Amino acid sequence: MWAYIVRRILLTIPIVLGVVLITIVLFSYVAADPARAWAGRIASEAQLDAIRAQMGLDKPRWFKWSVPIREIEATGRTLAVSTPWAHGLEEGDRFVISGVGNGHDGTFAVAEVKGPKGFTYRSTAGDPAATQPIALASDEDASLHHAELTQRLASGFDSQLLDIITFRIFELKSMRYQQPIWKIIKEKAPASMAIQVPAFLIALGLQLSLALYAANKRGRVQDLIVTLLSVLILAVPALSVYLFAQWAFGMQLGWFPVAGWESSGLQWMKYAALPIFISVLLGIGSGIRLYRTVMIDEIYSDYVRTARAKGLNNRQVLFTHVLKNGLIPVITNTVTALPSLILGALLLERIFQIPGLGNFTVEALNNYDRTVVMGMTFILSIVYCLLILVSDILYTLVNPQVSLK
Amino acid sequence: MTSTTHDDAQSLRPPVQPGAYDPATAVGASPPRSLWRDAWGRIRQSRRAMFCVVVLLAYVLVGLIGFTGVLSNETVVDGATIPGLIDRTIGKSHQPPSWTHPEDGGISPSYWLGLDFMGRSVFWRLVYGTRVALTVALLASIIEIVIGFTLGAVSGYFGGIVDALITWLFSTVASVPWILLMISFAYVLKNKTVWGYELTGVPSIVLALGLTTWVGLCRLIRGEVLKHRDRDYVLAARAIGLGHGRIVFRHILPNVFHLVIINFALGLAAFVHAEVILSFLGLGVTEVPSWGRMIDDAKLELLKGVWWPLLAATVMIFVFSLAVNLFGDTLRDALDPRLRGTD
Repeated sequence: MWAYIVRRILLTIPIVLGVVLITIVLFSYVAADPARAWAGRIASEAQLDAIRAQMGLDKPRWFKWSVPIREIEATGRTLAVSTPWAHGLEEGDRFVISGVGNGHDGTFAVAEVKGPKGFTYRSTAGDPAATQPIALASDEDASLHHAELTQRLASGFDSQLLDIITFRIFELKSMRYQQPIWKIIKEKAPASMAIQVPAFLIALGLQLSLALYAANKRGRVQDLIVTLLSVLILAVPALSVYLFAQWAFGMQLGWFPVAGWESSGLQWMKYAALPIFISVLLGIGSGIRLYRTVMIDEIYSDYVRTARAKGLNNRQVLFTHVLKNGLIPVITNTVTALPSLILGALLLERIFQIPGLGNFTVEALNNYDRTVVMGMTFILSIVYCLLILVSDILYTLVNPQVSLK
Repeated sequence: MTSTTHDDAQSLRPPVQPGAYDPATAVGASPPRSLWRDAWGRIRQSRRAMFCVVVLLAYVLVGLIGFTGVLSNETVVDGATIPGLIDRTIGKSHQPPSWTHPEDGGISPSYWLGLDFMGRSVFWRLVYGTRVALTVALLASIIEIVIGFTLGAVSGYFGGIVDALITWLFSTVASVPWILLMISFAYVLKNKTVWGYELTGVPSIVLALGLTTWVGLCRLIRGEVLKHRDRDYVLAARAIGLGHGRIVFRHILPNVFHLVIINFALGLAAFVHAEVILSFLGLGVTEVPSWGRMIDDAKLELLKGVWWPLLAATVMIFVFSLAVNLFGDTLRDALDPRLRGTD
């Protein structure tokens, strides 16, 4: 079983990398000019360039090797090493720079550099965009006629990959708020949780009890009503229910505040009540059907017959036997539903103006705040991967047959 | 000539003992029925399913009105161009529903469901929205099925490294929460120019939906093809020298196609609901009326007590989803006997 768990953990790695790839590709290369989308139609070219630099869109897209320098503009200066980890150089090592040239996108760094350690260093000395005003120490004689960059240029892909694998994605700033995403998430999560956690727990309890009830009364009117209820709930567009509930209970009847939030003390409960109620109502539809099927499978299995033959009453059979055994698919289904809790209900939070993550994401979409949409997509996917991993491992612990596969 | 072949066929059959059971001549024996005939028989027996079929056919007919162009065609009256019925202002804004024309008193469908905030007929916009909804659901399903089936079949049939790659791909896509993935796709595809063609409204959401929903089908088909790969009929097809493409599409496909159909039927409602979400987020259809747009517009209208556009679009979606889901359930039970009897 341990072998299975280890293998399962290792299998998660390529999937996480895949998610990284999807996120980067989707938001950097598929999107139609993200800079223009963010800046709007009236932005000047200079403004757009600045935004592109901020987004890292001015760099080569994927990989670029060995870019020949077309022009040599200056020669004979020294370069102080600022990246001591590269090529065994140490900080403070000084090199004679042979040329500063034009790369494929603007003036950037270095051509061939002859250093005191006796080797020739061909490189851009890092990021072409960032090193534009390169620190050149003093005028010294050096002559070199040929210059070529043989190191791989830093690309937009690199920096994003680096951001993600070093978990710097949490520090990426929202373009609109100029605050790290992580900080915003921490700020917005409580409101989402205040709606989602109670709604989720109540819905789960309702789903299980209704499913068990329907399964117990299989084929009778009660079963039909419960099944019909779940089918009807699944068919209603959620947005209509939100709008209607807000209008009817908030505006017409005045039972609940129309929209808004207060985080002080227990004030939030006043605002959370209606959204929680709607979430529960809309959330039970799919679960009831699934769990009812599960429970029916259990009710008609041999061990239940044995339990009944032993003389247990219906309640004991249902709650100690059927429910317990039926819980495995319930747990799997529940765990995979957890990431959506973090996000909160996008539309629900938007309509009721709850300052949660869902609302924040919708706002980011409306504002073309690319970093936020990208960050949220990525973070939630990773959480999802990890939760699936946990649920699979839990599953092997509950059901040892799985590890044989 | 024909009679001899008939005789030959007769003579090839083993002699039948008098009184023994012979399936071909047995009294009351019905000819063998295909899966599809059998399924249709079961569906026809279910009054609920037949009612759903009628409802869905009505939707298709209503959708076809939108396709004819009568609703969107501009007309020229007295030298002035008047927009089509869906965009024409025919009265005061927010006029409540009435059976009759407010001025001449004759019965006029344009006023049956009232007018929206620009004085346009909710009825005709709803009819046109049916066209949009059906188009989106149908085209997105086609993309989903083509990608899901092809990848799933290739993965299950060839196995090995191809299988590993495709499994990795769909596991990865499945790891991104669907609603975010769909929104992200719609977000990046909006107004994007592909091969000189600007993606607006319908094409971009069709792509966003189709490209993000194939995972379930792919996983299902992969598992199923994996089972069929080593069956005798596939071995026989391989033995007579058929190519891989022919084996997959001519021989395996018919044996797993019922799963595709079930998936298609049960997925239709999800596409319509997704269109509402995208419309609300400003990523949906913008140039023509759609159900999602009508619900989205209603968020401001409702504050003024204007409930009819919201109710009309909601009922349209509700009835459609209900019919599709109930029909899909019956279809699933009829086509996939393993799942029978759980409801």
